[in-house]
Amino acid sequence: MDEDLQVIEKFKRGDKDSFTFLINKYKKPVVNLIYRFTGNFRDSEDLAQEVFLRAYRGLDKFESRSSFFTWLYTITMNLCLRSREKENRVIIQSLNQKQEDGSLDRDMDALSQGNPVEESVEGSETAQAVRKAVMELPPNERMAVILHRYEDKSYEEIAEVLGISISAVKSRLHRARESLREKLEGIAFQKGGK
Amino acid sequence: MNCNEVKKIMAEFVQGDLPEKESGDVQVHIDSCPECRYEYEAFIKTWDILDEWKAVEPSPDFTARFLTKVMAQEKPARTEHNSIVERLGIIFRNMFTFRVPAWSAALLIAAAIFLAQYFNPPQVVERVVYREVPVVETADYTIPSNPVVAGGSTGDYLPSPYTVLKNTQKPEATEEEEIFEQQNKKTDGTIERIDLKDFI
Ligand SMILES: [Zn+2]
Repeated sequence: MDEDLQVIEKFKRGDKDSFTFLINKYKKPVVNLIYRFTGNFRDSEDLAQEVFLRAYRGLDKFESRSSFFTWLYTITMNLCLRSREKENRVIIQSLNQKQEDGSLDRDMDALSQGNPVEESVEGSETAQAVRKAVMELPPNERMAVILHRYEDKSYEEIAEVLGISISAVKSRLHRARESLREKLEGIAFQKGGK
Repeated sequence: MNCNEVKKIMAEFVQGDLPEKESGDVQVHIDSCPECRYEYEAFIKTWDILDEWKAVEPSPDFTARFLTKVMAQEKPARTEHNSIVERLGIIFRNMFTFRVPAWSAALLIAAAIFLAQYFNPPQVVERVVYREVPVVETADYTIPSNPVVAGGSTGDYLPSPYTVLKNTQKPEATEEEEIFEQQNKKTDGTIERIDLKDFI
């Protein structure tokens, strides 16, 4: 039995403290999953806290048919999508309340960039370009790229998290590679690459 | 294979998703066609530079913050719950959450029974009836899916294993209570007194 499942068994038997192990093991991937999906560093920790809170409350119902991380990542992804819906609603509201200070343009811009409230993020020009290119991917391709490229997950694992077929995972990644090639080609060759 | 055909399946090729035969054909073409080789390198390089977007570190107090939040949601503020029954509810609940030894659950039940005996106001008697009392082992307690936040109503945080009945007169001791008293009788026939202050 894998380590996570042993801890979960302990948790289910009443040892609520054992959850700390799971947080410490998964906080970094969860925070980064959110950060890379939303592009919003400022809120990613709060959202990650919410992810763990839901996991904590629902862990008794977790069935060990799938691995814990798949389950946790599914929660994360759902929350990411929901938080984007909420942000978009706020933006749409502000669109309705016609503003004259130019903030409307800014919100529209944010909506199309998929990045409503990010302050400037530190990093090289290349890092900025990469971030922008990833953020411009459609959400379903973006999530596949994040899981595959940044979280090193297999097709099978991604399929399980996203609830899609393996061939769908592959084609999302193919499309994402095409877009990224288009957007980052200039800077990639400029940099010399490998 | 011509250039157009190769370009169409370049992403699959780069990702290693093509069947062996097709993959071999693409490779042969790339080796002899500078334009398609450039295209191939572009795919590789643009994928490689994704590394430039570095991961962030969660703040050092991430776990502590989480635990504080959970504690706050699980334990309602003490000042809002003054009645002894309510306090018993909180203590009982904590037992299930934080694994207090089973004997203290037994003591608490005894205390509750004594409450019913010694505090016997003429108008309203609050009687606590415990069901499925986990005297033996740590109970399988599920955290409510909708934990109470401060200011929630009394009923929300009362632990599920028991219910509180309000009667206008003192009721007869239930079978459970009688059995419990039997079990807790000292050898000299008196029942051990337990000071509630030890718990609250
Ligand atoms: Zn060619």
